Amino acid sequence: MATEASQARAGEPVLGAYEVFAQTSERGAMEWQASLLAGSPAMALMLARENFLRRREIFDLWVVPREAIARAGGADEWFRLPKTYREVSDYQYLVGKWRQYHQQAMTPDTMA
Amino acid sequence: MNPDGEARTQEFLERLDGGHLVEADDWMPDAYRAELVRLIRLHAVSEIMGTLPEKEWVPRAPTLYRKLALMAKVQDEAGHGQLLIRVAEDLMAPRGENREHIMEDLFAGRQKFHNVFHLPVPTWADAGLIGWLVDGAAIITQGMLLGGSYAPYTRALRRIVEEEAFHIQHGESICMALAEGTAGQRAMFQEALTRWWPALMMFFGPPEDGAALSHQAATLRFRIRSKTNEELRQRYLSKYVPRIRSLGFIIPDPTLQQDPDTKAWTYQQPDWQQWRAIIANHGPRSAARLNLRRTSYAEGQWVRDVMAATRKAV
Ligand SMILES: [Fe+2]
Ligand SMILES: [Fe+2]
Repeated sequence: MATEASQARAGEPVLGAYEVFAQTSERGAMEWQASLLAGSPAMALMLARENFLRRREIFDLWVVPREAIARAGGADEWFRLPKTYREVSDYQYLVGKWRQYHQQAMTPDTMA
Repeated sequence: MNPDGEARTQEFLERLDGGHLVEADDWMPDAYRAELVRLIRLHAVSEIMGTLPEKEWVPRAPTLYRKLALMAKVQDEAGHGQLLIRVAEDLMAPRGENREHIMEDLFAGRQKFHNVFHLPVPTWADAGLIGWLVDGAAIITQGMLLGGSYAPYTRALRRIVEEEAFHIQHGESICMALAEGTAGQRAMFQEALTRWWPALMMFFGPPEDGAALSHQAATLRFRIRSKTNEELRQRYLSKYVPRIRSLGFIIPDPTLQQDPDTKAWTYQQPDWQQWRAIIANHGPRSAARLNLRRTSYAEGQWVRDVMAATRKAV
């Protein structure tokens, strides 16, 4: 996303916004870390490393031009539909049932 | 293999032994790539073909709640197929192959899928049993694969295993309801169990002395898997036999028993010849399910075309 000021000066680098993602565990997923302005992906990678990831061990780093990101936006009703029938929590009652059946199975008079 | 490649492979194996993980664009020996592609394609296509037996029961589920949960599960399985096909495609790209090759191979009978998805699902108890005991078997394999050396596969598996936890509970819940139901419902479950037991024993593949030895040894050496077929089957028996028996159902294998000291199970070997025939698409529902997949792939072509279009037609 170039600012008008930066475009106005001929020969100056055009700065764009990049979103920074890092993988902080070897098996883990990419996670958002920061946003920054840079003139190129290579510069964005360097700035990301120097500005935001000086301490943590990381396994990989992504910089993504912000205009490359398609956003759904939080206003979408779909995100908040009731979906508990898809969740393990709807089946918690089974834990108690299994305990009861295991105990029954272990009492001598039902062992036959 | 040239001496250079051999040294490189040796170094690669040492890195694996040191606990290092492999990413999609890292160098890897051809044999490592080939084993991964074979395994992940089998897994992906099994997820996709696995939607077909259960979806037969979506219109006939006994309550609206069960229908919603079963649809959610079927939808998850299709999603697992999608996740895995992407992982496979990245590995297949250097050979100039993509998902269409996987589908073509499936339709031509060159791509196998798990034995359990070639079988009929005649009753609601069969549908419940798949959720409980087939997904229960799958999660034992997938849980083991989570620790594998190819990181992109393990990342996809982590998401998959999370959803599988719901599948198993959903299946357990159906089976528990039948177990606590009428005599007719209990009999329905018992019949389903009798029907499915040999297929469940086949699920993990033959024991080590079988024909699968070479792939098993290779995937173990490459640290893609960490347990043998038989180790997985033993774990499965330890987990599920007590549960099935605690509900008062009979496992149709009079020889099935656990050694009290070693905890090892002895069991009736299923007919491995039959297993080979089933996964070679000679199972009772193989042809019908492949036809359905072929038809829906052909009828869905226009959807894929629309989704791939980058410009408006008018
Ligand atoms: Fe799945
Ligand atoms: Fe599942």
